[in-house]
Amino acid sequence: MPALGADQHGAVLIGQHGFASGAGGKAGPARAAAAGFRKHKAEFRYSGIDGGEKLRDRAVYQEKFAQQSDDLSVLLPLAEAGDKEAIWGVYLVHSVAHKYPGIWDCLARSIKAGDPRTIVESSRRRTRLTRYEAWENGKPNEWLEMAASLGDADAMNSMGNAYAWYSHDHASAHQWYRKSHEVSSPLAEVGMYLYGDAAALSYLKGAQNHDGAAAYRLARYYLQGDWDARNTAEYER
Amino acid sequence: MYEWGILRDNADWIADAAARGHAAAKVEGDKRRALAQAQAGRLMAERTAETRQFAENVFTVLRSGSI
Repeated sequence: MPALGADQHGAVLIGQHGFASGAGGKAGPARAAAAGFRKHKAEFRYSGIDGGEKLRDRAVYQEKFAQQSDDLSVLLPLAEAGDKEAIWGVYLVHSVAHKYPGIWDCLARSIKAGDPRTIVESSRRRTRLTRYEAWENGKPNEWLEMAASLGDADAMNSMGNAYAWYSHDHASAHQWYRKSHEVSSPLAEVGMYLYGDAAALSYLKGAQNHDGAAAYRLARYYLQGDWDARNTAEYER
Repeated sequence: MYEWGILRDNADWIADAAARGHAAAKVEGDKRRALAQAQAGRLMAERTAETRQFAENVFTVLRSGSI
C-alpha cells in the first residue's frame, strides 16, 4: 500500500481510498504535496518553458520603452524651446513607436522651425497615404516638388514619373530622371534607359571609375546635348 | 572647451567639458546621446521593416510556385 504523500516530482499519489488525496480535506503531507506542485507549476511558468519567452519579450520591451521615455525626457524640454535637432529626435522616437498624432505634430513644428529634412520626411509619409496623388491641379504634388527641390533622389525620380505618366511632358521627365540619377538613385536608371539615355549612363559609370575620357564626353553631353559623342569625336581628332 | 567643441562639432570635447561641470555641455551631451539613441532605434526599425518585406517577397515567390 502506497504512502500518502507526494513523489519527488510533486505529483500527488493515490491514497488508500482510491481517490486523489488533494480532493478531500488536506492534512499534513497532502497539503505539503499540493503546495509543492503549485510551486513546481510556478517555477515552470517563470523558467521559460511555458510563457517564459513572452515574459522575457515584455522585459525587453519595457527596457526599450524606458530607454525611449528617457530619451524623450531629455529631448522634450529642448523641443519645447524650439531646438530643431531635439524636435527631430522626438519625431524619430514617435516614428519608431508609430504614435501618429505625435508624428504629425512634430513634423508640423519642425517644418515651422525650418528643418529641410522634415519636408522630405513629410513628403515621404504623404506619398504613403491613400489620398496621395502625384499630379494635382495640373502640376506635380507640391510636397513632392518641395522634396525634389531639396535634392531627395526618390522624390526626383517620382517627379520624373509624374511628368511622364500624367502630363506626357517627356523633356521634363527625362530631366528629373537624370537629376535623380546624378545623386545616385538606382531607381532612376529605368527612366534613363526608357528615354534612350544609355550613352550618358555609360559615360557616368566611366567617369565614376576615374575614366577621364568618359568624364569629358559626359561634360560635352550635358553642355551641348552631344549624346552620341559625334562632335566630341571630331573635336578629339 | 565647450564652445570649441560646439564649433568643431567634437563630442569628445563636449563630454570633457561636461565632466568638468559645464552645465551647458552636460545638456548638449545628453541631447546628443538621446538623439543618437533615437537614430539607432529608427535605423533598427527600418532594417526590421526591410527584412520583413524581403521575407514577404520570398514567400510570395515560393507560394506562386514559379520556383
